[in-house]
Amino acid sequence: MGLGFVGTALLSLLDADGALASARSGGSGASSAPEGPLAPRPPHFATRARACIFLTMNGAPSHIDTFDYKPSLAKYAGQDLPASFKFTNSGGRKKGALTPAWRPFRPGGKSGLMISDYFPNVRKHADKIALIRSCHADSHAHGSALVAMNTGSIFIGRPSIGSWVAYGLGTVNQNLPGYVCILDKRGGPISGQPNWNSGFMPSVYQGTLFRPIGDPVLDLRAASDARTQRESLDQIGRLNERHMAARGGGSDLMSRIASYELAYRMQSEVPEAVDLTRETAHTLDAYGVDREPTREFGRNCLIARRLVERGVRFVQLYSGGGHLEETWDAHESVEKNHGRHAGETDGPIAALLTDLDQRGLLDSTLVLWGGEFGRMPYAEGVGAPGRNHNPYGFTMWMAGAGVKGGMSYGETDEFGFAAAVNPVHMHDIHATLLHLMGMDHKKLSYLHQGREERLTDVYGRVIQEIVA
Amino acid sequence: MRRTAWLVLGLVAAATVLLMPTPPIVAQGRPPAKPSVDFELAIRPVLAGRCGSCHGAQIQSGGLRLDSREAMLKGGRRGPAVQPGKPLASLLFRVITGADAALKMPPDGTLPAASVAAIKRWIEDGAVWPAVSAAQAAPNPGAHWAFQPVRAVEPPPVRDRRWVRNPIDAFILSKLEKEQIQPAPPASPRDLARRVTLDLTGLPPTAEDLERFESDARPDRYERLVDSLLASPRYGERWARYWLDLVRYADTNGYERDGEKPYSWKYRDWVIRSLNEDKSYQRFVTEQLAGDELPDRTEQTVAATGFLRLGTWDDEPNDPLDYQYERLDDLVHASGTAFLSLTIRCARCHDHKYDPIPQKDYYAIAASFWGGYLRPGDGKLMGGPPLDRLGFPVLGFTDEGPHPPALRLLEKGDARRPAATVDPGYLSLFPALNRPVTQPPMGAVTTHRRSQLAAWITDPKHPLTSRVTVNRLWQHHFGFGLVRTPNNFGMKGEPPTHPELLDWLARTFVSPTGSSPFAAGWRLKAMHRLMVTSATYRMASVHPAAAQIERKDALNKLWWRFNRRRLDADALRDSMLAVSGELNLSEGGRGFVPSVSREALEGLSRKGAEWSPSAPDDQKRRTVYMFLKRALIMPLLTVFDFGDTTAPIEQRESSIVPTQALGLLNNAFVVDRSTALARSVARTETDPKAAARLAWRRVLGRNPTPSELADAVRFVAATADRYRSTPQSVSDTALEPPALPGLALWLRADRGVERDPDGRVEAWLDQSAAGVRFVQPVTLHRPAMSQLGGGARPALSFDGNARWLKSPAQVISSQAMTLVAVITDRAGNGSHREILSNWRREGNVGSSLFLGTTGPSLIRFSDVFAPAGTLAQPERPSILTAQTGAGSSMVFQDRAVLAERASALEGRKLEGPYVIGQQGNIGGEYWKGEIAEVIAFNRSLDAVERVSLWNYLSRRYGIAPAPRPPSPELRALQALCHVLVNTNEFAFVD
Repeated sequence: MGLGFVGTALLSLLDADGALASARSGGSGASSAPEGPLAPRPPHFATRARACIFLTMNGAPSHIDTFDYKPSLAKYAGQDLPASFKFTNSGGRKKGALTPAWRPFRPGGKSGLMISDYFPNVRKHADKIALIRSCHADSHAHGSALVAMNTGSIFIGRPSIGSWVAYGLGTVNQNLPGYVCILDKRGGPISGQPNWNSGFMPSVYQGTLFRPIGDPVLDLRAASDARTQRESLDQIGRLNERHMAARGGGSDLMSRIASYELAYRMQSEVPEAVDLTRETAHTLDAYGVDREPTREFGRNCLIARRLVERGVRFVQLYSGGGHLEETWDAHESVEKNHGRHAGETDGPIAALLTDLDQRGLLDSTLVLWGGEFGRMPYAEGVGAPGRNHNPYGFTMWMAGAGVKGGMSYGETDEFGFAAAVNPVHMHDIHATLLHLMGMDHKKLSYLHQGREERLTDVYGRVIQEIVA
Repeated sequence: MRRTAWLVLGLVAAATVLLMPTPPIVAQGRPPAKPSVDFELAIRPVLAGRCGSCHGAQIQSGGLRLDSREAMLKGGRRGPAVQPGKPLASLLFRVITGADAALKMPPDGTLPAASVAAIKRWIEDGAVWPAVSAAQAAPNPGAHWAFQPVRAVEPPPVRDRRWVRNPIDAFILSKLEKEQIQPAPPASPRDLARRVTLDLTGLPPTAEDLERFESDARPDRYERLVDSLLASPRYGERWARYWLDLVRYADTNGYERDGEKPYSWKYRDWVIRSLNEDKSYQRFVTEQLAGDELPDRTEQTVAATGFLRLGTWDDEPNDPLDYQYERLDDLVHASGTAFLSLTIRCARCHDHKYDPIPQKDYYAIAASFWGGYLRPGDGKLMGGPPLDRLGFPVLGFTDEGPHPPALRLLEKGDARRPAATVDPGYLSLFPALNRPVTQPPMGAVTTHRRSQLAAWITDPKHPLTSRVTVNRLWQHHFGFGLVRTPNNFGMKGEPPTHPELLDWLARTFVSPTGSSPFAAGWRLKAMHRLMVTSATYRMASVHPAAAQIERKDALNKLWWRFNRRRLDADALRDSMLAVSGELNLSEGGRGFVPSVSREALEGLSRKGAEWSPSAPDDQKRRTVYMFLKRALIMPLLTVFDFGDTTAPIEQRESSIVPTQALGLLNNAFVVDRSTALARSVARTETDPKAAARLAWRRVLGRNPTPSELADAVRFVAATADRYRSTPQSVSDTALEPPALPGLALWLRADRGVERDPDGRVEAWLDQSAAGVRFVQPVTLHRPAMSQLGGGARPALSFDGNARWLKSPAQVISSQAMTLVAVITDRAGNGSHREILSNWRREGNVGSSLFLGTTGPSLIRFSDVFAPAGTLAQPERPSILTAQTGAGSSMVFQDRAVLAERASALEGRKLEGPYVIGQQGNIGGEYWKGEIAEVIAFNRSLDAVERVSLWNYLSRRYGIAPAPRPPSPELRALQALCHVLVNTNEFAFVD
């Protein structure tokens, strides 16, 4: 509110050219904006992290089959979850008996962190990873839980994590968006746009979708040939100069002039950022870009690294899109579903961790992995191979950016049903994420309708125990 | 400074502190070491929540209050409650840890260990009690300006009386004179006319409009212009948009299904009509809150209650018990914000932290809505009443009955902690307006609480309603409100730049017409007229001394010049359509669905969800008539700050970012508008100079200067030269079906037709290599022959009377396919009817393949892609194309996309038999109309192939001709038009 900011990131650019000085001498428009909405801003405190890659496992992976080692489930196999547990059996689906993990767990790295055979390659990075095994969420339905994972609230309309990060830190590369979201080809997350919206914040902070097909950014491809476009831009520029001169300047007019040149540059820089032809054969192979089933997620992981290298603050990658089995929503069969989705992502995630590490980027890049909730320790139906939604306990993990590796924090109960030791709410994940990026979640606020709104509302605790 | 001193003193000698006067410790000025406990999070809630009920403002058990530092230091009968710096010596700490033998607090249990630790640390740190804001420290929150009655104010005297056109100007000028600031000179007549036209109608004036205005010698030419604009239906369409933003208007529910809210558009049309009729604002409010309870209720007034149904609605709430309160909150919030600009919502869980709104008041207001259909019910009703309860087919609100269950205050807003019953009522903040809420009259079917709430809100003495409303009008006319937080008139809001002016306007607004010279009698148009005819409004946006004045008042809070503004998303889109000459001004009805690029559809979770853009003409309607789907708002609008539709939007952002430039340079919508403009210009002017001049007049409303003209002519000539060497090809290649690979079926009415002695068709032989033979052995069921659309080409004629042909063979063998049919559909608004189908009762119900229509020619491309667009002019011959494969499905009529979705059709069972003219062997769903040709391919054709096939068919049938390729000259002119819509002159309003 107030000024209505005028692309003031551009002003600083112009100022560097000395163009602004002459224009400020007269004219209209709000010229006192101190800095642009996406101008780089210092964090609240010094920190290593410059960027975050959020590997979003859309549809909710089963923690007990992947990262939450529950050998006790073997003991209880075939029994019911004790009747004393009160919970919502989402969607009123069938209920079967407690069922142990569908693939074995094995120790990884020096730390011996237990990770299942769904993620054999990620397991090799165990010493870089802090598992958070006591997550819990506020909703058992995908639509609201996804929105809660992304915004902190189960109701749509609040800014997403990436928006908060872009708002808090700005972006260091003005030719690229500060917050990029890459969806799965199979579709967007349930609830759509509210998952990457900026809510009550200006739309400049909303996530820019890099499309899985076609142009990475909407309207990026020039509508005319290069020569005509350049001459058209020059023509627009000349008309705008005359127009501005007749009005004695104006920062709003100038910002808009500059925005055309920036747009022109984006047309070449964005395609360059997603152009993988300059990557070595070795890199492409490591990410699995050249083969199924890793082709798509491998490509996206590699693009994420390239974006982070180029100064993008927050990159969110979705694994799984649309509904049910097209996502990690393993109602029918954990083995079939997770076999497919883990098969698509395990190699690329491991390659991303290796690549970031080798390039010295892991230290400054937070990698967050997880879905909107977990899955039930009991089968979905008698003897059935699937599992229903479980918001009461699940696992997320972090790596890089000063996160302690080779450890796990928090525990679910012996059934893997609910967070039991050191429960971690999504607000705590958000608080920790902001903390690792140098921001105090209690201070990062945005005034909206008289209230200082926060990503963590009035909640949130930084999980200091996983911070090195 | 003072705080630092306090802290140090507090740490060393609490006794000294006690003797000191005790001003509130304010937040400015940092202590040497930041206390490690967050007072607001860890201390205040505990003291207020666990101790406040016995040691607060109302009750002081033991003479002790724990709601200020002063009170705690003073203590109660047992002495001071805290000794700053010394937790172990502090009574408070002792009683909560059980260290005090005599007393243990709180009486109903123990505090969590974390709270005890926090309190210990807090006392160690000096028991600092931050005053949150100056406002909170104010002795009497009721003294806040916005809560005072609207004063009767006289316009102040000014020195330069000639500048004053109406009383508004006296208020503005008086302050400027005090600050010794000269107001900006008047805007030029042209700038003023463009400004007021865009302001009141959202559409640009034409060059002729502007010239007429400039040459009008009458002294009241401006007032006449204003009156004609206010009388135009375009006014309501423009100003409705601001209201729709404020009331979170959209046409779908949001969340997973994001289903359409049926008849939401009737609410939108009601707003537009109300504004155009200049309905009194009292009535405007009342109909929205209680249009269903009015004695003179009509479909219109019930549609107005759609206001209470516009919020997002989750058909799968996490907790249905909770969710009814969430929906209740939406209603309190929407009403409190739109009508009162108060954040009543903040009092849902606790007393409002800043404004004097106790939690009880929240529930008193909420009780007005508690009779509505908020509890979990039939999902099909989308959280609303059944239509028969409303009496009209509208998206409306009404109560379940006259006596709803009691509403209980919820402790901490927790649905599982209900406390005392709260009676319906109003904000205790305004005792002068207090009145009892009466029981519904005998025989009432609703609670009549909402109509009483409306009466309370629209009481002329209400301090907020009138101020809030005139402030919104001012805001949209001048760029910012007099109060620059238009949705928050509470204590955290900004004070008005001109409080007296605000009050004068508010009083003028509600005064009965005739009671004073400007009295508006609650009519908005009178207020618009007053504002836009002021000298303040007529100032230029450029000020010769801007640089100096900006040093003093960069934000223009003194209103020393007009604020230049960028066109908002709606005005920009509408303006482009207006200048290209394409704007379709048809009013009202269900929203049109815009075309969006395939990439934009990628964001939807349901890729199978069809996106059926409306017919091209329909898409040229004003933006206010666009269908707003919460999961996907047209990207070109969102990039220009079209708001998020989930919460009330008081003021759109006005950002300037490079993605806007990308949109205006490259988006197909903009390219199409400049192409249309170039065609339209080229129709009138062939001379390059004249054409450029006309383009200027159309886009910018003026003639180009000689140098601009010369430059433009040069640009067009150079561009045309370049295009001549690289001509744009519109493919005129025409290919017969067999020339394209994958042909599976080719039926044409001029070949392979075998007729019985009556001339009826007994067999139709496929001309593809497959040679499938469709037959009808029963005479009674044979279709006749006719001329397609009464023209020269033969067609099979199906009269809807059980005529069909059948082949036992399987026709299509691939999940990727293209079906093309040349047809007419003469069924009118009939039921299902099919062109081609392989439906079988046993085997493929739901998974069959068919192409047909239903109802008013809605296309069905199997059950999973239906509806897939609507045939325009179905009785005229057209080429219907449906294809699927490779992550996309599309339906075309002639050459235009009717529907598409970002996924292939899911697993069709393709075995035969196939039939022409009905739905498989159902013995029904008969085609009524003509079929001249049916072509099928076992793959999805690409764009080039499609065009070559269409070219072939269009030549043979004389329908849907290929568009002529634009000449190099036209393309160059298009480039110029495109340049012009990209200019600042077009995008900004001075």
